[in-house]
Amino acid sequence: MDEIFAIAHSLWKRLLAAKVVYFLTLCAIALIGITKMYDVLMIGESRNLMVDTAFMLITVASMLTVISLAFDIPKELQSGIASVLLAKPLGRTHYLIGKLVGISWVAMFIATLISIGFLIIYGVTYGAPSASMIKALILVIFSIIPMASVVLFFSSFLNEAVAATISTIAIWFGYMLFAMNGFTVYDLSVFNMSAEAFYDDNITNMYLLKAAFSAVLTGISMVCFTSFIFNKRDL
Amino acid sequence: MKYAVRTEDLRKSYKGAIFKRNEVVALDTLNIEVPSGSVFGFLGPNGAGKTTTIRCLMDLIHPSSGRAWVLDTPVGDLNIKEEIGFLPDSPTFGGHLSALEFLGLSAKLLRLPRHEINARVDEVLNIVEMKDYKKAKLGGFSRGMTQRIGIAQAILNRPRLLVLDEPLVGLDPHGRKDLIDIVNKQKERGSSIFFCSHILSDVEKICDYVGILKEGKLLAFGKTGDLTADAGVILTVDSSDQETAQKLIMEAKESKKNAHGDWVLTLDQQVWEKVNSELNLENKDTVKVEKGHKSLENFFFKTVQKEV
Repeated sequence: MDEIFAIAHSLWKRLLAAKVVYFLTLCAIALIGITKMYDVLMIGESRNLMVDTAFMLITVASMLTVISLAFDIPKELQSGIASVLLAKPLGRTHYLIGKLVGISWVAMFIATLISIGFLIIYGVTYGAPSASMIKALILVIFSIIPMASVVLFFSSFLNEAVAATISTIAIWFGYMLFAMNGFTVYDLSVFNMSAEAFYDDNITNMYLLKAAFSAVLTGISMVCFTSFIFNKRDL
Repeated sequence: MKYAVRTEDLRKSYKGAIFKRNEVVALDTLNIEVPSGSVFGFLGPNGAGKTTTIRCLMDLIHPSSGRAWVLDTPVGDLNIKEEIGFLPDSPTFGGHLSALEFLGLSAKLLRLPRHEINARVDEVLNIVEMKDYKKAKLGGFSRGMTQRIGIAQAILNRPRLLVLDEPLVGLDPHGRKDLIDIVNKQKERGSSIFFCSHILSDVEKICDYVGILKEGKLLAFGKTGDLTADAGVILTVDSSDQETAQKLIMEAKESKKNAHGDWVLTLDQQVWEKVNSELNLENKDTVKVEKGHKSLENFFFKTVQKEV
């Protein structure tokens, strides 16, 4: 376990050391905030615009964060960093899990920061957010795990540009096919940029648990599949 | 007998692109046995298969056929990697990490006890003379400094086997001397060292065993002393003893006169033994006998060129 967390921590440290992460997070929160100014244009529906914008930005920010893994792994393989690490008593599967855990932490951290910013802005502007909104946000955050596992899979055998492009397409279509949360989050659509989950009052705790379980299960299945291929390849 | 490294018909080939059926053989049935506690130098021109061998031994690439063992354990065993130090060719490490952080990460991956990590990191930074740069980011390091950090992470676990791929590249003369000292110290500790290098004079100085590889095939393997000793016997015959000189010139593979007019003759070992038994040359005052030694460089070029 120590090895997995050492790899995850190294990735966490590297990504969160980049100032651009905080700048883009602040930009996302600012963008959510300024939707209030479109009240007239939205004919009094700026609240829906804010919710949709927030959900869309949290999803896109998470996606962009996990896509960075498509650059990280091929770069480590090409530069020989992976060879140094894997020459130590670190299994290839542990290396992959470490990367998955690391990128998931970072993406969840950024998604949580934007979510907190959104909830504060929403609370100040329209009053306390509903429980269903918070649950819908948690569902989006859960979707990071299968998203990251898709990127992990493609980056384990493709080069940076190809892995990033195919991963983006796969995630996009994954959302369309509701697969990003193990076929449970049927109402988060990146395609129409709306957050229908927010308007669904029927998100039960059991549903939330099921979604979390599905996300983890999807992640584990993808890691097993990726590990099988990664263990066969030459580094 | 215990072996640090052993391979049995180790072979690695790469298939060509989809429409090209040609197969590139990087390593062709390699058989080597490096005794435990020795320093082994792996030599060969570029593309000979040295790095491929090392990557097979470190389980970074899978051999097409054959088997390999490190420290008498089949390659791929994770636990045995705790006892191996590895420095790859032209290493690069995460530029965002400081030397201290990188060595800390390496120590964790090597499963060193937590309470020992800081002391061990300081110890290796002292050995490679990089203590002053421990908080500097690796991204800003020169090639030589990166190489030193690479050596530091390789000896962090006090390995029983140290595998070094071109460790002398990028080091200045001072750095080369330091590396040779480090290798010697590791040897004194009882470690085995397996390394490849292009700097033959250094290999000759520190290696007990040498292997020469070309186009994936092992051309020579043996003790350094044995490989370089086979230069025959050199006889210097005084100019006054023309009779002996005339007899020996017929048998010599090389003959020339020096500045004093004496004959300098080179004889093969077998020929020497024959003529010495006939003429009792060792007891003649007019004949001076020397055992010939060739440098590893001579041996290397002769071996490689013979194949060409």
